[in-house]
Amino acid sequence: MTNQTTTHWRSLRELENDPDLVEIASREFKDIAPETLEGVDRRRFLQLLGASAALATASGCSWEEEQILSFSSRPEHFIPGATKSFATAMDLFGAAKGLRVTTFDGRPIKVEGNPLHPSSNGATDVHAQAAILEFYDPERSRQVLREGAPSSWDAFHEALSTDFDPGRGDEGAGIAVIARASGSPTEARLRAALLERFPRATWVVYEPAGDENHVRGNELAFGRSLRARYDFRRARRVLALDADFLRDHADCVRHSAELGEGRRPESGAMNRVYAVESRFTSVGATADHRLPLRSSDVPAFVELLEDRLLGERGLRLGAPQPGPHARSLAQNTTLADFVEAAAADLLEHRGESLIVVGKSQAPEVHARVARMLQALGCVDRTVSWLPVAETTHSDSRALRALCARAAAGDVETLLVLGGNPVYDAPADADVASALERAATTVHLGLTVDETARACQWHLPLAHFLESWSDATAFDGTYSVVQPTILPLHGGRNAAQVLAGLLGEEADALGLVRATFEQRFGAAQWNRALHDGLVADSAQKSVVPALRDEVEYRIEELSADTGLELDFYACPKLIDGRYANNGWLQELPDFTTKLTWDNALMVGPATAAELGVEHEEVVELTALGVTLELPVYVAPGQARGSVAVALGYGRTAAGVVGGSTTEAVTSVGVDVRQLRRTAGMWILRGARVRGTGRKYALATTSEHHMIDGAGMEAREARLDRLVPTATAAEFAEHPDFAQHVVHHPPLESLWKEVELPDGHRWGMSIDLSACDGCNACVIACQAENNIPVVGKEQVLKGREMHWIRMDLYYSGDPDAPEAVTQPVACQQCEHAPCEQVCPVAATVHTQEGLNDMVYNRCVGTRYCSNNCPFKVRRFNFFNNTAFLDEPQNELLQLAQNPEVTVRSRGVMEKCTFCVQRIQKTKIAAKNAQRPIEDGEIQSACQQACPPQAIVFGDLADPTSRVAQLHASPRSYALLGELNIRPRNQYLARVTNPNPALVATSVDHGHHSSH
Amino acid sequence: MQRFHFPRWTNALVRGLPVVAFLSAVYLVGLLAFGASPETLAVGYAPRQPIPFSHKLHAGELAIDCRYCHTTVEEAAHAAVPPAATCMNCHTRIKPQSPLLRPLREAVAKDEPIRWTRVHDLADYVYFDHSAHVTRGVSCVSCHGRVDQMEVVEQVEPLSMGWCLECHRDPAPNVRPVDKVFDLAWEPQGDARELGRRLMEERGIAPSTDCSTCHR
Repeated sequence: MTNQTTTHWRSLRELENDPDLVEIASREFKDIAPETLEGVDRRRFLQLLGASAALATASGCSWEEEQILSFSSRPEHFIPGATKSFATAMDLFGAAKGLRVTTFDGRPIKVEGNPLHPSSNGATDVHAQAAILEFYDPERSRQVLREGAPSSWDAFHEALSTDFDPGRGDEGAGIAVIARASGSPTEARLRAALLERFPRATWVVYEPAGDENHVRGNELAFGRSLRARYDFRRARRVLALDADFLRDHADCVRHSAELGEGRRPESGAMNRVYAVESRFTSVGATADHRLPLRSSDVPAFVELLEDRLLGERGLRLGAPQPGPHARSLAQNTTLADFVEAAAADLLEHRGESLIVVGKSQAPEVHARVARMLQALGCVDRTVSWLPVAETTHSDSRALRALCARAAAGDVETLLVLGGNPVYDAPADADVASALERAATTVHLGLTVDETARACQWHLPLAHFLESWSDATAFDGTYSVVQPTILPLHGGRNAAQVLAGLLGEEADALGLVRATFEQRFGAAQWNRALHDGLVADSAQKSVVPALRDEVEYRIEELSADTGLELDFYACPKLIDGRYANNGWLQELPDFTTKLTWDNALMVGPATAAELGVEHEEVVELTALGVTLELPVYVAPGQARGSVAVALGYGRTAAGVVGGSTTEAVTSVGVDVRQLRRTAGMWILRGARVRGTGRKYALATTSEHHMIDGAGMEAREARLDRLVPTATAAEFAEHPDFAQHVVHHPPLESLWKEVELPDGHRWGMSIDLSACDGCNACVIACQAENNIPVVGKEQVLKGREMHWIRMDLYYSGDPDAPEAVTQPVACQQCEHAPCEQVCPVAATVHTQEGLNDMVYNRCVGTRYCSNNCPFKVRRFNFFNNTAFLDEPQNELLQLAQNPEVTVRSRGVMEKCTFCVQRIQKTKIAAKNAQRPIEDGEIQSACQQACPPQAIVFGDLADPTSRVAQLHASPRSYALLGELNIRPRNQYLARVTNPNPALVATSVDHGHHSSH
Repeated sequence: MQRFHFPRWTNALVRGLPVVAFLSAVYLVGLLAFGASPETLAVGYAPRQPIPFSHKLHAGELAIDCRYCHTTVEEAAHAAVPPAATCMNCHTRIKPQSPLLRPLREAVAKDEPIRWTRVHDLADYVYFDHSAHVTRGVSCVSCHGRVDQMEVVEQVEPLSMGWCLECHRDPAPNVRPVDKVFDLAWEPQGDARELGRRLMEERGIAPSTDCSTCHR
């Protein structure tokens, strides 16, 4: 592999120089096989021509008559056709993300982050962005169901009045509730009221991707339930142990923002990230050093680290000797060097260092890390300990115990308040049988899912965009959940259902206000409603004492543990709750670029050992269960481990995610049968056997490649596409990015056009700060009405995303490095696309935008052919025709009315959110004032947690974007073509540890000159 | 190989060719004439409305300001049609029993909308903004005509893209002092173009003809 250590590749197929791929890459549209064009004979062509002419004539000659429906009484301050935004919050894993929802004529159309909220600082993640589609999902349940037949809320409360009769003698011993983690103070208050009235009732919180190991680990260490809140602004050295804290964490948006701040070399003191992980995650891609290690070897790594940190050469606090397995691991010099370097670095930065452990690791590992954090002086500096509310603490063992009790007939009334445990509970918590045995079973949910089908009653849940509620941010900040519309389908939220069962008034606003006034008094309400939160209401952190008498024993692995299977929460679907969301299903995963499927992630070396290939269907056997699923040969997956995402294989998600009643095949494979409460994340002793059959996985890694010429050209060019330098190199040559490409003096092919004075819109994207969270991709999709095309079309390279996240790997395929680059239309001043359009459908504006005029476009696709960045997307079909079907009417409301909905045969691409530019321009000119810098934000910029994307006016030298363009790090993609993109990138700078760089292979970071 | 010959009867068709050519010419000319006719462009379109509201009476004789009803015209894209409640400000006392106003009273009583027929209907891919025009000094009259003299509102301008561009390229004749925008009878003293040019300079009016100005 020596000659491969310097190559960069987007997929392993490319690394191997697969001749098929070279052939495909040389064609503009990989889906148009040459034979279909050559094969159309003249007769067929004339038939088609005749048919289209006939259709054109049939499609009418004049407008439809339109009606104007005026209000009988228009609400005060209501302006028809104008947008308004409201502060609200979204509760995920019991932690609120503060949002601002844009409404148009009284319906929500776009979600943004709330700049005042500590969890978001104005940014969002993919799930908040996709909430709009979830809200308008036509398959949301629309009524109360009893045994599948329509019923009513009144009938429900009538039927359950005996179950919840305050006079019942057994103190509610037969009542049990399975709830999702919730940070709603109102829900907590009503839960307390319920448990007070029925003291023997059971309340179980279950999150399939919860952080219970973390909380239990801290219980071991401190004797109380605590959760860590990390402060990445203060952390200059971060060690992530199997922890994807940038995606798989309730506070991920804030993490991303804070970590990104310290990734910029201009920040003065760049942070340094070490990642030890089995699966290649976004943390691994961001890290300066990544060590692929099986998840089950991480405890041994922790032992070695603890020995080094706390032992004789460290803080001399005395640490238990590493076990035999750890000692044998330490024989590996790469690992030993990594431990040594990381430990020395952490020690050197005492109080500014941070160790984060992932949820997959056993509580004992979390406890040991808590002890190390204490010793490193991190407490209340880089980590603070926050008490855990009971309603947010997921407990899978309690769920298993409840199911066992129910199976024995001890549970009469079983309420599932949100969540879908029939689908997502571990296999040894048999919720389905429990629901069968209980006399009365109730499910509250957004859709009629697997659990709803197993319950007698199904209640439609009110979405957070349509219901009053409250929530608590990860740091405890009280947040108001404000509806933007009345419930579409008469749904109610969990608090309302509980209030109803307690015989209280089930008015959502009244319940929330009662909770609020108890805590803050009525006077603050309007302020809280406006801001979306109560300022300074965060929880006080505690400084707990370690229980030093406890020895946190780490399980000793035997030498032969077999193949390790890791489960992970899908960064898109999480635990399957977003399985019916087309935006998320079609979103290319950050590291694998996989859409519309989950697969068994196998590292290249492991795949060779197992004798399986990419896209081969394999039999995965463990715990006596055999599943068939396709293999994805994933660079960077630790040797000896394989991984699979949760959240797929839904049978009652809907027409997008799979439904047995609609005869829609499930997307992906459900691996729940392999999960046990004892091994929620790691399963050892799995066996994999190839079947020789192939299954096509829709990955986009080979789509829209900037280089059509394959590896060779890429090799020569990648350093130009994504120039990278270390912090040391940057200090010496801050303008390294300018000197990567050597070209003769640039001369224009065209007559230079003098643009008039005025705005010159431009963008800057910081590749040091971007961690590939994909929020921009979904934000763009929501803002610009970008259609979903489905797996078949993605396989043909026809996905429509206007912004794509390119990922380039380099180095050893089993331990690669990666660099990501978001690419949208670069808005070239000398745009090659404009030169070739025969109908002037893509033209330049005076402000430097490259306009796309849909009505003029006749679909020659010459522009896309001539685009060096491959950012243009063609509508091969009428991807929005389904909106006209009566059952999908609701989805029409999800479209942004400020942007044209495109039809078939039309090219489209990023417009720099021209609708937002125009809106602000008009408002500013109406008021006769200049546009302030930062007043116009593109959708991608607004969503971006680390603020890697900056949009603005280059004509104003004081604007942020102009200053960033002037930065020595700034470079234009393919600048040697002299097409003058208005978007420029800030070159990536990493901060590797000199001690490790010397010993590791040369990663091919070019020398500056 | 035997050569292909057209059958003899096809000769009869050749004689018909001049007729075909003539008809084609007529068709083409007719098509162009029809396509460009004011009727096709909906000039003169004056649909019947559920209530025979007279702009001539209200805006003309009674001289009610346009903005009394179309309140949002200066701040939003839409010059919103007034809610029924606005009408009832007067019509609770003036002609409260008029049979012509029954739809209005019903709308208020039932809290239901009145279904007006849209007269000035732009294509859905056009993003026109009223506020951007009236705050620059483009009067209502430039696009809607003398509504204050219309018993029934009708479209007087083609509202086609070419017509929009005429003004965007040369706005001077249509720019007037902002305080005269809603004065439909206002006539400039002297040369309208000269005045417009001066106002444009003063207020920095430079309309764009870029596609994305109106199409997004």
